[in-house]
Amino acid sequence: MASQVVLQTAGLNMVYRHGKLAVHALRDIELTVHEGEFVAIMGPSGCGKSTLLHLLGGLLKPSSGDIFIDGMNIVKLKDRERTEIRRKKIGYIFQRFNLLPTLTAAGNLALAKRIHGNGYLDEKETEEILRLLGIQDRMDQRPIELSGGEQQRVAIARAVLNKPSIILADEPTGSLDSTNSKVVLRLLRETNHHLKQTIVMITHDPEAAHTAQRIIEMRDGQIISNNAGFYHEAEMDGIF
Amino acid sequence: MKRMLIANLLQRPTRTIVSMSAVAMAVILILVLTGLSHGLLNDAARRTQNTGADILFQPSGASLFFAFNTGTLPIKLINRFKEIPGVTYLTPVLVNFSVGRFGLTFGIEWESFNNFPGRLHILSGRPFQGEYEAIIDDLFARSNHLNIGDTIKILARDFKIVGICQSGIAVVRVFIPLSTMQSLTGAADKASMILVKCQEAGRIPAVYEQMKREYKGYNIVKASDVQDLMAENTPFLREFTYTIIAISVFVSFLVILLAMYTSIFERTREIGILKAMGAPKSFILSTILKESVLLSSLGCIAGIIGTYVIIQIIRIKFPSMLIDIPFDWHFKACFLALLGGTLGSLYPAFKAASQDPVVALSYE
Repeated sequence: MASQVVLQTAGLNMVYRHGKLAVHALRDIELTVHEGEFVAIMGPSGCGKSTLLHLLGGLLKPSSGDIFIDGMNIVKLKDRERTEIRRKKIGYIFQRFNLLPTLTAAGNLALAKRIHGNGYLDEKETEEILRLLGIQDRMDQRPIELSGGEQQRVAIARAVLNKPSIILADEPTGSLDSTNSKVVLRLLRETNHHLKQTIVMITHDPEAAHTAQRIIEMRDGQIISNNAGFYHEAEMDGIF
Repeated sequence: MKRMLIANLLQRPTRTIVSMSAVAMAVILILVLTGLSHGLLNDAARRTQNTGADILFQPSGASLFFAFNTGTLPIKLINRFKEIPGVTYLTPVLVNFSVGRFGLTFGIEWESFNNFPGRLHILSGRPFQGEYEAIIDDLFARSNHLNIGDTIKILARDFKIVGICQSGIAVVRVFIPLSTMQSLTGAADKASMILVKCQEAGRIPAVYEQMKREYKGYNIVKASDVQDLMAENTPFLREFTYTIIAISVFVSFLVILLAMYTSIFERTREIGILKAMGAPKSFILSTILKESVLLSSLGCIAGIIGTYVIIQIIRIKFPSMLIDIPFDWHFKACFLALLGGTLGSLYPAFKAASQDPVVALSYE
């Protein structure tokens, strides 16, 4: 396991207020993720895992506590600076793929490069990733012309393309059948292995969670367990 | 970026066409209205200047828009003007305005009127010899399907058309003998104005100054100043034009505002995705603004094309109506339409840029 900490939370709390009603989505979350780690966060709906992912990605500001990305406390940053961190260091993968429907697969990847501005994979590396994901021949198709599995593979390519240090995956297999789910999970592991990117994936599927190196289980806004998964680099091919 | 802009416009073709049409309509309104007002003013001024007169002598309070004038100027003034050094030719003109199809009629003295450089060039027929004979210009003849020998009613009398002259010579299109008009309007020995021709251009200022000095209270205008004076003195034309322009720009502003607002609403989730990908506010803002600029630019092109189609239709349907669009107004109209479109997209763009990414991502 890599030793450098890339993601860390300290005393993280999130309270949603609706008038006089206060809903504690997260309570005192202490989380540490190392470079190159593949971590799954599991738990039932409403346990706070999506909120945690949004906080880690800087999309939300916590009610209290700190979030460190590569040692920088993003809670203290302005909105513009958090956006900068997200652009440079974080890649998102969503449950519903969230490709821009008006653009082709290639257009979606080009847009990600355009937003990032620099530091993305060169042409050779991009081709390699596309070949690894098996979508090199589908680049001229619009999302609507792609299957769910293909769309998610394009979304993975979009997320890893700019070489972010952290990939945040929000139930990446939630909208896929079991065959495509396995393909996507394998690809996530392979890109994790290949590009040495840290992956934090939330899921409510135990099978998906067990492909990670570490499984963090949440309930009622709290971490209730933090165990090793089945993922071992040496066993990669064996599982699938 | 370009691909995204074009893809966004193509995704909702109806919205794109409606928005473009609104901008195009603003451009068309601005250009056609400006063209019409300039055309009418320039035509009137040009044709007044085309008589070849150097100075127009009118009664006190007379207008350069001859329709507003009556015959109150004694013709005998001509004899006094002849004594002014530098004056070569003089001719009296009595003007009558009819609400009928031809508007203005000039009562002229054939001989003295034709001393002027802008004399009537008879294309067919002959000068009038009898009392109730008229000469019309070729444009009026063509647009009203009139020929030599036909009859037109002027001042409740039938006039026989005896000649067709070249258009653009004078401000009016129908001419009758001065004496006939004087008799029909009860303005014996009176005129609406006296046209003055000087020996040479260099004598004009001196003649003008002497007339101003000796005939205080009269309306004395140099022909070279007619166009500017008409533009300045046209009642409410400038205000009317600017009001229509402001309304046109406001309409394009509102339509683009509505179109972009709807578009932002439809693309809430996409904006959330962009934000999750790390797109800064400026990127989202510029994307929306660029889209509206592209939309408005296409609308401007369509508007200019539409303007010239409408001008052609006007020319065919109303040949005597002149439209003269100053070249710089093409840019002004496009600039105003673009301004309206861009301002219209500002609010939706800011709204999109400041959307909460989490809320946007969960938008169904």
